[in-house]
This record gives sequence, C-alpha cells and structure tokens, in this order.
Amino acid sequence: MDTLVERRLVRRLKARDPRAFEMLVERYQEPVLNFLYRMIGNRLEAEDLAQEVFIAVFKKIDSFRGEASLQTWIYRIASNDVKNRRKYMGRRPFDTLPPGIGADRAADDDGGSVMSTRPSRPDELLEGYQMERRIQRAIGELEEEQRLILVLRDIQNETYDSIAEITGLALGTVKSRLHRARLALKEKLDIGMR
Amino acid sequence: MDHERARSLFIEYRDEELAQELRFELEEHLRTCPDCRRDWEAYNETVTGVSALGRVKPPRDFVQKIERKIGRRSAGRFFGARNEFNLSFALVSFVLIVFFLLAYLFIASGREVRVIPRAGGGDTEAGPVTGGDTASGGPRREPSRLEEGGTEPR
Repeated sequence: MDTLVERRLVRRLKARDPRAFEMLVERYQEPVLNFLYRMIGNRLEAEDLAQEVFIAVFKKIDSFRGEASLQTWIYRIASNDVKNRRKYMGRRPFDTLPPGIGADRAADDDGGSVMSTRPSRPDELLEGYQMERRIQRAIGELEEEQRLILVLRDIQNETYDSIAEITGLALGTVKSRLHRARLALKEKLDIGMR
Repeated sequence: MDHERARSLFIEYRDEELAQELRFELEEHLRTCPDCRRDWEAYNETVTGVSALGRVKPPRDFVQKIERKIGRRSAGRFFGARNEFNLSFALVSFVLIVFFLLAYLFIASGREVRVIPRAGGGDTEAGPVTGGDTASGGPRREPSRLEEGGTEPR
C-alpha cells in the first residue's frame, strides 16, 4: 500500500472512522487469515483468531507510530496472538479437523479448491489434496520460530527485512532459521514418503 | 567446494542472491556431486511445494462478524450505533406510514358522508352516497343540507 494512502488510513482509523476499519479489514483479511491458517492448521481456529487480530488492531491503533509498515505491525500482532493461541490449544494435534471442514470449507465457500493450481482429474485432485495435507502437517511439526519464518517467507512472500521486523530477529538469524526450517521440512516430507 | 559449504549456499542460490563466482562454483560442485545435487533438488522441491499451497479465503461476511464483535464488546459504542439507527429509522418510518394511511382514510371517508332527510321529513339521517340514488328514476328527494363539501340550499 502506498505510504501516503496508508498514513491517511491510519489517521482515519485513529479517529475511529468505521469505513476506514472496513477498508483495513478488506485489505488485510486474506493475508492475515492465510497466515494464521498455515500457522495453526485449523480453519475455524484461524478464522476466530483473525477476528481477534483485527479487534486488537482496532483497539491498539493509537499506539501505532508508523515506524514499520501497517502490514508488518499487523503481522506482529498476529504472530504474538498465534503463539498465545498455540499455548492455549496445548498439545492438540495439528490440523485435526476431518475432511469437509477446515481448509476444505474455503473450497465450498468460493467454489474452488484451496490449492492454487487446481487439478482437473479426480486422481490429481486427490493427490494434490493429500500433498497439501502432508505439507501442512509437516509445517505443524516444525519448531514455533522455524514455522513462523517459513510461513512468512515461503507462503506469505514477505521480504527478509520485514520478517526481521516482525520477529525482532537479526537478518542473519532470519536467514539461518529459514534454511534450517526448510531442511527440517524436507526431512519430514522425506520421512512421510517412505 | 566441500559438501557442507555447498549445502549452506542453497538458500541464497534459490533466492538468486549468490555472487556470480560463487554461483559458478556451486553449480560446478552440483554437477560433480550426486549427493549434493539430490539434496539440492529435494530442497528446491520442498520450497516450491510450500510456495504452491493454496490461499485460504475469508468468508464473505468477515468484516460484519468483526464489527458485531466490537459492537458487543464496546456495548454499542463502536459499530452499534448504525444498527440502532437503522432499527429506529425503520420503526419511525412504519409508524409514520400507518399514521398517514389512517389520516387519509379518515379524511376521505368523512368527505363523502351526506346527510339524507328521512321519508317523514323533519329529521335527517346520515348515509353513504350511492350512484343509483338519483339515477334510478324513483321519487326525487332533495337533500335538506350538506354537512361537508357543500352549502345550504337557498
């Protein structure tokens, strides 16, 4: 988002302009929900948490000083919230929802698969679905910090600089953790294939 | 280049951030080392697979759900006023429509009431105006007076 447009939006948000809040949610709902879903692995939990993130943004907007971008600031809130939610969820297995609920609901709602490249044949569809489940499960087994960095970089396409700002880590640490996360994920997926 | 060094460069190689000289060195190593090449292919495939995961779409009423939550938690201070306004606006509109409808019916029915003299003369009785009253060809009765919308016969 253009800096000037963002600054104007923040000013309106601080004035509690309802239309500005709607614009904010419309602009960031998809990246936030997708980020939370990939972090938690449960569609309903992710949706509920995404609502809480936007409520927190609404409440805390006065403390936003514009040092980072609005998106970075929102991701920071979301990543803190997701850590707390994961603690609250405890040791519940990752992505426990049966088929037909969770990520699949997105397909029902929007008339399309959750996979970005939708295979047309049923066997391809099933294969794509199984692969997605396997990757999602492997992501869920990563350490918290590794998962956070991997999701931000490889799924959300965030830059290393913004990941460093979101996590508060040095740039070098971000890169080395991402590398380790990818290697760990590769191992888990290899294990799954045997 | 040794194997460890080659594998540590995978991240920058994938991001296409390696200096040209180092990239040539790594590519040369990958050409000659099947283990590292296999590792690189698996690494690259993993990242590609993760990047290809689909996007989860929010429900259509996502904004409204959040606004309702904020409205409830702030006891209507935020995002509650508009709903109250809509409700009261609808209620006031309904009452006004009913009021004007009743008023119209009352006025319209009152204008058409005519006082008709009884057959015996003297007293009068009120009754609705009927079209056949004068056109029927029966004995013509003169209205003694009109209560509304007319004048006393001179």
